[in-house]
Amino acid sequence: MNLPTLLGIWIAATLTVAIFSFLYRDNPLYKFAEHLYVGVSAAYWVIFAAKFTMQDMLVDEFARNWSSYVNQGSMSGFWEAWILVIPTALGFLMLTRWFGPKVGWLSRWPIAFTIGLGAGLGITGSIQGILLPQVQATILPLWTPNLWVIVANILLFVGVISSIIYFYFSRPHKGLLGGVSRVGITFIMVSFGAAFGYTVMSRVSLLIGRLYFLVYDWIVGTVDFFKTLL
Amino acid sequence: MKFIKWLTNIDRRIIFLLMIGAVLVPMLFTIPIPFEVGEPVQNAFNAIDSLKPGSVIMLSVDYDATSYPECQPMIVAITDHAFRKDLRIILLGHIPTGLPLGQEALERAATEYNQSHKAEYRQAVKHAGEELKRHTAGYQESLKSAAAEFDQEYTTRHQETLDSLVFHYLEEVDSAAIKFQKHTFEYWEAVKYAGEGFNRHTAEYQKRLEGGVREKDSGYVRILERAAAEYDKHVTEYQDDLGHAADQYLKRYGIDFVNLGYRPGVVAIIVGMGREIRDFYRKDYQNINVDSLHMMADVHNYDDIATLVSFAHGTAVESWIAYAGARFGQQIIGGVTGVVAPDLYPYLQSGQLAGLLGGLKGASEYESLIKKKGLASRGMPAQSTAHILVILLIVIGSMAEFALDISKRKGT
Repeated sequence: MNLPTLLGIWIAATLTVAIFSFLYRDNPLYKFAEHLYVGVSAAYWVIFAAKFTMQDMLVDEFARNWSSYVNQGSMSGFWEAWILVIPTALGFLMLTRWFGPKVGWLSRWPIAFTIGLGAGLGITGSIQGILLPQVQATILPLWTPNLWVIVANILLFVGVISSIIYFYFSRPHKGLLGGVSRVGITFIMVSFGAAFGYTVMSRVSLLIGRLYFLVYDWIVGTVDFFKTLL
Repeated sequence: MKFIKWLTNIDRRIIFLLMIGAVLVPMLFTIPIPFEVGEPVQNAFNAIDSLKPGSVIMLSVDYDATSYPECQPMIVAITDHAFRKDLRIILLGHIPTGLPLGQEALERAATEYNQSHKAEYRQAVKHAGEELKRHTAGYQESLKSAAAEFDQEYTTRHQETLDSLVFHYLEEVDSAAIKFQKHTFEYWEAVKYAGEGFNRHTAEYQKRLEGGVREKDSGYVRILERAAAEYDKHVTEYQDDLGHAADQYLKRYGIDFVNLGYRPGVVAIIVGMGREIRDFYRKDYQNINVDSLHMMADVHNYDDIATLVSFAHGTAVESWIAYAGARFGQQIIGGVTGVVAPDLYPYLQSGQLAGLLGGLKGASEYESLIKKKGLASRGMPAQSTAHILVILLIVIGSMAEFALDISKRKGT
């Protein structure tokens, strides 16, 4: 390990300890680390947006297409360069919200464009990619030579139907509807339990990761570094 | 009664301390806890293991530092497996702050692979060098015999020049290998540069040699020209041998893996890549033109990608399923945090996911399948003790509440 790496580890370890100090109670050290994290993340996003969106997809793209038009007379280059004016204009219209309601309404155009595009892609994707395949996967044979497959398929069938019925609110959940919806809520609770178990695992994993870093990268790493110096 | 009341309202800081202890103890004193590999992870492993060498897999980094302990071991294990199987990797991502983590995993896996094959690679380079020397000796023999006939002293002098050129070239290749063990792309560039320098020098040498003797005898020049052609052939063979050795024993950026970087617009990109990847990724993360990257020459859309693995802490896997999977029939594997995993089981059942790695457990299972103990395997004993503690706390808390409730009823 070299000195710059060790310094980086010390900065990361100090910030980790600062964040962990919140477990005792809120304190300025925690606040400092929290604000630093938010600031660094925001700056990182800004740089990425400037580099990979503004420069690569707008400025460079315009320059490339325009030069192909100027140098080779490519008409597709001409159109592909100027079509970039549309997203640029929409982007600028988004900023009109800063200048009050008189011009602020113009920002609704890019928002409408984004919602339209998102909805168009989202609806087709949800139906084609999620709803239909999932419905198809629920239509299963309830009689097969394998007993366990039969049990699993019946469970799946009952679980899906009863859970859907639980979310049917047009009639009061009484009688048969009430009984089936109670079965449905049982299935939903089981799924919540599984999700909770996974969530516990997930959160403990984060703790493991940080403690592993503190013990081995920070403490053991520092000791090893000074051992090599001596 | 006081103790039971205390049990129902334990100070959270005591629970935090217990949790830290439950994680630290198995971490410091290795406690082996056996576990079995689940079907979703086994399927993910099989999907990658069954791919032919040279196939392309796409890794999408859809997580960031907040999910590092869970997702990083997964991407490390899968890149390691992919390199062992000689698969080529395209890295991209929809979270800018996560992409450097993917790059780190790729570089680490490539460095480890190169380190583990260093001896074979150096042996192959040495063998190629020896072959070149042997053939050069043959060339020198031709020169010698020609010189015996024409001008002994003159040719001997040039033999020495040639020897020093060969020696210098081999030295440069060797020093590049030592200098750029971690940076295979730069190493390859250095070797190429040395090769170009060598060719230039030998061409100049031939010219000088030729010019010097042309006046003396045209028969001698013809012998030299034949020998030079023979020599060029062997140098080309040598460079081919170096290339084969690198292909076999090194994982290099641009040849075995690329990082296309980040582009905004998740769904539009996923859909658009079904037509042409270059529509969105003209340049890689280092601003290198994608067309100049060797491994991208025959990769254009999902038809050229055998498997896609999305490492995610959000809904990215579902986007890949809905658009790349449903529209283009792309095979997809999910590598997700524990929080996300339960939401993806329906896609396993429907066959829309070829495999699933859920949380640290999924990562450790994959590590056990590739027989490499990584961060996940080392963390699993701590995971188990922490879970036991959570169960104990829930049971004790519930029992204490129950006892308190009974005593209250009795009291009334």
